[in-house]
Amino acid sequence: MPVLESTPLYRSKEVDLLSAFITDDITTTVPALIVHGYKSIGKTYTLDSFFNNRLSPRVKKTIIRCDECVTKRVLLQRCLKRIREDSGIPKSKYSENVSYRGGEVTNFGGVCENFENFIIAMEQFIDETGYNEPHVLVLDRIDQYMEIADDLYTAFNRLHEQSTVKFLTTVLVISGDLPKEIVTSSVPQIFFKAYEPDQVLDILQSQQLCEFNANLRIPTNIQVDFWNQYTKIIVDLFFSYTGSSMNVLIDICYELWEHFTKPIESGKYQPQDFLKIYREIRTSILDDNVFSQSSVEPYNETESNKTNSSSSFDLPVHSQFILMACYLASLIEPKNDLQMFSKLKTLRAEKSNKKSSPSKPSKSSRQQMTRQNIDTRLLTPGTFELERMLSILTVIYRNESSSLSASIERLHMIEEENDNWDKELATFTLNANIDVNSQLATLASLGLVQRTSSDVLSSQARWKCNMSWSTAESIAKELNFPLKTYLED
Amino acid sequence: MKRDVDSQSTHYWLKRPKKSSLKASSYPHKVHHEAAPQTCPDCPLSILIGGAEPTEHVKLRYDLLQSTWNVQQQKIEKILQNANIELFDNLVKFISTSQRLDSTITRGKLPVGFLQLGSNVANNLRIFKEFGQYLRESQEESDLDYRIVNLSSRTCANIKATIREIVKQVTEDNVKEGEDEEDEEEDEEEEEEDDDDEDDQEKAEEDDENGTKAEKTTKKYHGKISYDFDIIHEWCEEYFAGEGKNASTTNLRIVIVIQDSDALPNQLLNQVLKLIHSYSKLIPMKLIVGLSSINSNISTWLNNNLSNELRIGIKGSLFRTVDNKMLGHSICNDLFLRYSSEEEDTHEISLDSLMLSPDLISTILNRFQNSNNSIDSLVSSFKLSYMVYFYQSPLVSLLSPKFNGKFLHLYTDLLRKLPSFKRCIEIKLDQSEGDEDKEKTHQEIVDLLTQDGPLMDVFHESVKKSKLEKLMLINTMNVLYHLQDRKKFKNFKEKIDIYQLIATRQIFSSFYLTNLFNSISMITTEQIRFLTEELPTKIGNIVDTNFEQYQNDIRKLENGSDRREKFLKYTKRYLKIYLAHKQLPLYEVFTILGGSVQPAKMEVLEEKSKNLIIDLLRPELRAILEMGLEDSRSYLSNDLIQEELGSPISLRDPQPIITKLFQVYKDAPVNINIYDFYCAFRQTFEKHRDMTYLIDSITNDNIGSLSPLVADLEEIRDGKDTKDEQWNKISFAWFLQGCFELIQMGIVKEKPKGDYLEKVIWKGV
Repeated sequence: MPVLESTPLYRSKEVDLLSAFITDDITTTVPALIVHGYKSIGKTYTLDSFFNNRLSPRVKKTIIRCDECVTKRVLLQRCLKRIREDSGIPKSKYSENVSYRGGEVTNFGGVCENFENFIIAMEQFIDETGYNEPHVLVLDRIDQYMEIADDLYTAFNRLHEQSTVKFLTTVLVISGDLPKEIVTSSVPQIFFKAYEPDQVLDILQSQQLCEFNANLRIPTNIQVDFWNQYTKIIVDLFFSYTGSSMNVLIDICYELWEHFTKPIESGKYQPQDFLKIYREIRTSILDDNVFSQSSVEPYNETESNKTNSSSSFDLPVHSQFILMACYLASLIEPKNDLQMFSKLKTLRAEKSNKKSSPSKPSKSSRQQMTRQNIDTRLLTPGTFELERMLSILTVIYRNESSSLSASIERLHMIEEENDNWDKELATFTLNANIDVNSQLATLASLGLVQRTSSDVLSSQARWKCNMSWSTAESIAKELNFPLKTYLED
Repeated sequence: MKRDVDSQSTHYWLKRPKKSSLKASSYPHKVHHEAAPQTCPDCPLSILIGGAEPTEHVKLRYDLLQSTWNVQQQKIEKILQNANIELFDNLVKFISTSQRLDSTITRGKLPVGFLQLGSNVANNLRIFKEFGQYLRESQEESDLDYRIVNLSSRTCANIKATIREIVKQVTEDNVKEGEDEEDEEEDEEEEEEDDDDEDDQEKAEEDDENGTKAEKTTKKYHGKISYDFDIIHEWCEEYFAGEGKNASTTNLRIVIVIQDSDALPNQLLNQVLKLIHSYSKLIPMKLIVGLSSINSNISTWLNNNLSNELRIGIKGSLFRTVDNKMLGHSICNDLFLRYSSEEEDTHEISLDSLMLSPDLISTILNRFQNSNNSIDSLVSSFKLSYMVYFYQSPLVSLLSPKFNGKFLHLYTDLLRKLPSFKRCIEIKLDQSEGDEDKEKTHQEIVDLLTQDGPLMDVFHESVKKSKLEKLMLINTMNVLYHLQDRKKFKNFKEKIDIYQLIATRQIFSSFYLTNLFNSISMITTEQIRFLTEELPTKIGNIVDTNFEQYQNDIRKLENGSDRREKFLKYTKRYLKIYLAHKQLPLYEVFTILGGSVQPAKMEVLEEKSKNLIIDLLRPELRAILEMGLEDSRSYLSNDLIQEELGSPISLRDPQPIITKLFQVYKDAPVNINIYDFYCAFRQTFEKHRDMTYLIDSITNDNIGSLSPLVADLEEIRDGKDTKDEQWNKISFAWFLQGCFELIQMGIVKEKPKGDYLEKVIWKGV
């Protein structure tokens, strides 16, 4: 954020409006005020600067950050507590306890259960102390408060009408649309307009945020020059993405600073050669990471050298097979199961015959897309029953598992006669394995598989695969599993 | 003591034809099961050899188990402790970085450590636990004060519960691990109370005694609601005041650990992060987010799960845990594939002489790799193998120097029944055919079969040789292992796999060896140096002459075009000589085979082969359950019950109610009308016979208080009540009980509309 001045850049109009609505005289101050505008364009900052520089110190102020409040009660409690504290009246003058509905609520945690109680507590405070100074209550980011804030808007608006609390001016800071509860009421609004690109640039240039390495001993005027050119490039490049959101822009400034100053630190270029530097690093700064702000570096450099992550998934083999079975069960329609997973050759043959024979002209002329015409990978996964998945698992494990084929290989190698082995293979199923269910539960807790009903025993319980194609593909690759042949048949 | 036997015997259901009693004698491990097992008075092991085993030997076996396993367990613990040291060091460094020094925080960013974990939840919990300990230990060395807050999806259902949890863990002093869980439970219950009504008295006290305020705050949070984050802020302010420092210079570090971020609801995660972020300037907080390895790409995960605003607000660092599979292998290598060092070898049985059967180890490892990926279960499998070995085999005592030779003939009899002894005699017979000294060999054989002395000589010889055998095995394995190039060789095998190939003598017929030799393009001096210098040729007084020869051969190799060929030639010769060694006679005694349940049937598929350990590791749960329901004898015909009854359970004896119900159930359709079900169930009883049986069993028990009941029951049996109302009541009670048991087992389910039950098991799949 730019340095504190008397008035923030390009916000003098808004500050004037503020000073018109909020004065040190209770009679001329509005009871409620809405400050709204797109996020991160200096609403809170302007308010701060207004309070500190323009408003008479006689006006007390209380700022509540609503996005930190979990429930209404926390929010109201904070209001009450802070107003009392900020009023400057020593604690001994008023009692902490609040009388309510005849009885006395002895505990602060018990108060402010709802807005009426808040009013009662405030009135009691006024009764006890006679406090009547102008006081501003800023509810910052009230639209981001964790519960639904609808009734609060109206409640704070009508505070003056409903209670003896007359000294309070409520400022609601909202970054989105005006809430419909108060859009029709005659509350004064101050709209913060989004910045224009050159305004953004001016603000950024008003203060140099990033510093050169002190060892380089670069003169201040060159530094400022470099900074100005740097911010110009940043705004030119990224304004279309960031808009007037100062937060994002400032973050990008910090992120990319190193790229620009590295060549100078290494001595390759002088700070005056800004364009040369830009030309050199142009390609490297324009990747997605700049926008997404999600690059995560390994903590210690030594750790990145160790490439021990040979496989991206450390899931056990059976779990991977279960995932494959889930994926297939989700994406293959149950009616095609016989074709896909049974040994019945005739069915497959029939299907291929159908395909090769020319389809009826009436159908093809319509060109209607059915589910079958769409690549299964693009469809949302369907739900399946556990039993179906388990059957598919039996089949694919028997066909594709490397450990089973290794056993068979070993058998051939030993050349021992055993009549049982093909029977054994035919009846082999993973489902007898005690770990299968716990693995399925693990997968569910990892979020790779979803369950529709919480009751596992219910016959209505259905499952769903929750993996993207790319994840499924990489698992299949690791398993050496021909996922595509199962899907594309 | 009795309970131990019982819990054991549940696994020993023997479904064998009657004539097997003869056959059983050829399985020495099994002998004791034919007679009722007796337990030794001093230790939990049962007396083997049909109860004839001297008690001091039972005790000896028990001691051997203890000492052997202790050594192995220490090794395991050491490995586990050291596995993540580097990670923990990094994490501690990350946590202890002061806010003042970290430029990111001054820019309003929250430092977040993303910890990449394995997919096994249990392992991850262990890692967090170890990390907590590590942090506490390192706290003692530095002047920093760490407060660890552990959050998991179990305790954090919503934002309120989460904050309450954080508040509680921060403000409460030194929450002990054990109490942790109970507290959480209580807290959930008291949730509402906490909010609304609180004690007047305590509040008053708080106002009075300002001196003990700090203590009171922890309980009362200054009267705030328990999920107000300001509590932590105020708590910190007080802490800073006590320290005389501020947020950027304080020694306090609050570490918030989210253990399973994958399981947390997305919205909650965002809310928590946002909240912590907005306080991060006021409170020295670091966040550690545990992620499962499914999210191999953290950036993608961030993009998918956190809002853009939040992503700007955090500064992530990535930490990786040690690969689970590597850890499993390193445990295996250390336990079984290493020569024991001097100091480890002080206990009675030398670890070097104990071998783990290659089949067993591959079963255990396969389960680890294929099924559960859990280090804890790997370790417990190993422990189980040892336990079965020492529990089942009386011959173990022979290995101990403390064996006093009592009842030696019992042991030699058992030795003679071992398959390998039979083979040994057969070989001797074969050899004697062409031998000149036929008589002498024959005499030898007769001596072995009849006298204890010569047999024991053979045995001791075998034990001695087993150490050499193991040394040779390990050497061979190491040679092959180090010839592999981890990066280039496609068929790269872990040590344990090579060990298995060698021990089962399949190495020459496998593709692996051919591939390995083909992959070796050149021999570096470094490789030769390693093979000749790093690997020992002898331990103590045991010398691997074959390996010595091999080392001498390759040491002489010169740089030349034929170096590779010569090297391979030598290696092949070395392997051949090694493999020419026959299996030692009586090897069963010092090999952990994993016990036996049934006469070993040759199974082809590894995943189906059976022995006791495997049965314990992966029982066919449903099959066992169904079998038990069909025929109660598989559960009930154990020694304990038979002893009580005085006779074996026969089919004629009345079946338990649940079994009867299951018989009816089997014939029922998918939807079972409850009334029909009950009627069919009642039909299976014969009133007079069953009531008599019931009355008899009650009177046999001689419980005085039940005697009026007997009279009632007799009344019901012999009464004139034609409508059988009482009898119907009794059978209906049985029916209901049976139904609920079936529901509990997940075999049947009540339909929401009532009247009907629904079958939920499926056959075959």
